[in-house]
Amino acid sequence: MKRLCLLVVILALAAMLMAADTVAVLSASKGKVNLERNKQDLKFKKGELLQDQDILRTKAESFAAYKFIDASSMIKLFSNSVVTISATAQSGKLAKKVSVDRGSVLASVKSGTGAFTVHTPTTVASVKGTEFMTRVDAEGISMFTVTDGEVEIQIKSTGEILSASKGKTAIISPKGEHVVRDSSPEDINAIEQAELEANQTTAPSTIRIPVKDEAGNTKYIEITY
Amino acid sequence: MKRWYFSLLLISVAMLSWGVVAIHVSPQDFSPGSEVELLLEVTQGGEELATVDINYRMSGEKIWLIEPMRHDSADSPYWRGMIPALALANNEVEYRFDLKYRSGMAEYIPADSSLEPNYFLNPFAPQGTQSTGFVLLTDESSISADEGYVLAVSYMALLPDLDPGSIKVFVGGKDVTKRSEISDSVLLYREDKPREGIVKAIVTASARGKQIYSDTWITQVLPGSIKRGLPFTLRGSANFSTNIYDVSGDESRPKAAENDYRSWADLYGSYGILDLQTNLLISSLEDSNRQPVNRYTFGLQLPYLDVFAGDYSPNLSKYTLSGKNVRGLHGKFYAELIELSVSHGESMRATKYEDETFKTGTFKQEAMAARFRIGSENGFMVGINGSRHRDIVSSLDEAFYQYTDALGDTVYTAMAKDNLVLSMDARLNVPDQHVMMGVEVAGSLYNHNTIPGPITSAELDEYGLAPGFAGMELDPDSFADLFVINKNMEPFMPGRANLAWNAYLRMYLANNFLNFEYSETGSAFNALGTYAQLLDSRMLTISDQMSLGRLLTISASYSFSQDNLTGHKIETNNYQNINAQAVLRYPKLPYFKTSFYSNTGKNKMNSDVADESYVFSPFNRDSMNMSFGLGYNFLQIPYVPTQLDISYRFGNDFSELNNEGAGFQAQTDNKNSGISFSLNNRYTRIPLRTQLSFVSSNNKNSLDDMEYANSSIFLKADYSFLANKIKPYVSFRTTGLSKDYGSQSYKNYNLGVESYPIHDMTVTADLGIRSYANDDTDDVDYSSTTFRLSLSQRF
Repeated sequence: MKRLCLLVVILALAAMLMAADTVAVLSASKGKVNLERNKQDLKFKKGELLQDQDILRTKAESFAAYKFIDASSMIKLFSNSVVTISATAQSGKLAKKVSVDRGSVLASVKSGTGAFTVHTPTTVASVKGTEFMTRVDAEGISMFTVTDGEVEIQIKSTGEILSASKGKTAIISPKGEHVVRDSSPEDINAIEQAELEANQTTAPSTIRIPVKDEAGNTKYIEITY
Repeated sequence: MKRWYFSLLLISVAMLSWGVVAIHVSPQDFSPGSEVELLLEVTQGGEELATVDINYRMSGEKIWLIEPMRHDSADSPYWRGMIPALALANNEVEYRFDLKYRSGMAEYIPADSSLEPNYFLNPFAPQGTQSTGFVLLTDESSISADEGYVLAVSYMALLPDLDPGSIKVFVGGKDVTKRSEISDSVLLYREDKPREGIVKAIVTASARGKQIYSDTWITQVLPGSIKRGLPFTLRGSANFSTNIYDVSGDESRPKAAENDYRSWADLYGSYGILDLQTNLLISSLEDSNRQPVNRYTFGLQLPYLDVFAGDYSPNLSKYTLSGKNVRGLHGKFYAELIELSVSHGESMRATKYEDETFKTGTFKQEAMAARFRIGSENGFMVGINGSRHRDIVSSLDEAFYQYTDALGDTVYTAMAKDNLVLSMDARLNVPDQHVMMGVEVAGSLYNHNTIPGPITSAELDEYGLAPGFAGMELDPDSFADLFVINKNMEPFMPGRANLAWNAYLRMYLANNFLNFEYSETGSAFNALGTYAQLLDSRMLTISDQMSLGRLLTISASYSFSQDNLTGHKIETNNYQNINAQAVLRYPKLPYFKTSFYSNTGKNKMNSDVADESYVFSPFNRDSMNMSFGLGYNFLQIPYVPTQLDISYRFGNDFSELNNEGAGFQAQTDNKNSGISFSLNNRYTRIPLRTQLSFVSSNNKNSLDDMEYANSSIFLKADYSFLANKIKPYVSFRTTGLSKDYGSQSYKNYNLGVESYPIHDMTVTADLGIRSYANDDTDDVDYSSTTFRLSLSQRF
């Protein structure tokens, strides 16, 4: 019995250690971003090693991005988003899972790099080499806008599988109602706008260019951006 | 100077001056994270060398770091040393050899002439194979310094073969493994305050016992908007070593050396434009009645100001103060068009010797020197230099330098010297044309005994020089603070013999480094602030080093020297030296090397000095040495890459004298030959390293019909345990003397262990046993034991 208990403890410890493995790296963060691990908020910096079941939260006008350690994919979280990161090693490859509770998440995934799924409260999207934006709004509506490749979306409540290819947007309601349509200019603009906001730095930068006037005096042109 | 210009002489540079001739074939490249072994083969004059050090630094840095070289054995031409892995990351490394002679002289290979380039090592692919399994997760090509530099690398694809404990991370020329966060599948290195510029990063590791390495990742760090404090960087080492000696054997055995310990530390720091250095050496051999062994130096360098306190060897000019240690204060203020250097301190300490019947000592010698330069070092400049070295009579009690004998005469057991040197130098440097020419003219005054004090008016009368000295209205007494004038001056009346001058022209022309130098030194020229000048002589030196890319380097020099410059001696001696070397190396093929050295001399009668009673005895001298060698790094041999160097030498030394017209008779007639062989193996599958060197030489004296032979074999093996943390080694060296030497042999056994308990710390314990056996002579056999413990921490 004692041996069994000891084995259980060892297995539990091993499981904890395995669970604590690094699965991703935080490659960018801007504004107010929280990192939650084991129900505790952590202080972090760019380059933080992210572990399985870590939760990233972005507030208004904030942005975060991370990469899984197999370098297969880049995930960008835009303002007011909540994502749980998880991954497990399977047959020498990393099976990656991005759970989007709410907000907007852009995923760029290389093909042939292991399973990659995006979970929303109502759907599971599987991809093999693609780029798409996932949005979950306050009413629980999931929206997938595919800009490259193809995405298979399974509706959790019905088990129905949808397919959305490049240029398409799939919308699934909490009740499982769905539609796949051509992406509208507003859908594409939303992605571009989010990326633009993410690329803006919080503090403006200034470049000073020295120039000489006709009298030979040095003057400066300041460009703030 | 343009970068290509430096790269021309990477293969080999020959020694073209002083007494040694050496060949070095630079490895050219290094693998980040691995030390580089350097081999210097001294083919001529090796017996004059006391120590050889490697000076190295990352390209662009000011401070030279030092690593000592080890001489294989007294009769071996090989000196070996190592640039530590710590210094070899992914930046170019510059190095040179610092040779110190038994006479105290020192010089560099390549020469420190500001025209010849030093050796360079370029970062090469690390050992092993490149792996795509290292994946960069932070792949921004440029970042702002405000963001901080982050290197995140995944090696998930290499698991489970890769050993995370073997991972080494190199960023910006430094091994940053210790500061990296290394997990099972990812490593992370972060620098919150990176410097602007290009940052290169590379990762090495071992997988299944084989060495692998990543791509080199390049990131540009752009200036940030946040003003940051300047980073303080510190490099150097702290060291301790102790030696314990014992000798046992027959009565006539040599005495055991005094047990000793020494601690030394070399610290080099930089903070923005400020460079600092501290060098300390404390030895148990320090004795207030010997010249100092302990050394301490504190230095500070700013863009326009250098200040050194303590032991320092300034180079003001060739004839005033050059390469000699002065313990004191040294300052140099310099700008593009002006420079003022001042040194003041003690060049000799006062020491006393006393036994039951005799007392003597050494006076404290005070050194003062100054140099004022006007003009640009990159254009035309003129310098005025002066130095004074004076023995301070009051530094010794009278009993230690003089006594009165039974006849009432004063007898000096030590004499106080006074030396004043003034010189003027000029140089024209045209960097764009790679041409430099210059001249220095110096005059000296030397007094070999100032104890009697300045000459008096009455004594001047005796010389017929009253009322002023040398026809000038000058009172020697009032002049004594600067220089003591008395009858002990050499010569009493200064003249042309007190002068020395040299002129040189150096240029780089069509792949040739050409150097022409001519000098004349008067018979009474004395400069205590420089190493011995060859007095009463003229010397012409012409040398050339030619490079054809990295393929072929040829160097040659011719020098002619002649004494009796002033023509007052009946005989004049002429000597000619010719020295040539060549190294041919084609990438991935063996290198070939050869050297030639010739010395011829003869005397001739000086017809201007008439002395009919003198019988002239002409002599001729002709000696020659030549060597051929080759080397190769056999990377193709599976499991045992082998580095080979082999040389064969031969030569002769012949001289003859026609003694008083009796016809020429040989004075010396020696022929010598020898072979030296070095084999280094670094096994790939096991952490074993072996070294074998063999030296054999034979010398035949035809006059006495004697033949001498000696040979030595050196074997060493070391093996690393616990991921290179502990490295025990064993070595054996035997030297046998045979033929007309009789049968003698020396055997050395060494057993030791090197350990690396913490990062960049080395602890070495070595037990050496040496035995000497002479089969022909009784009572001279002995054996000695040496135990050595050393500790070194680099940072």
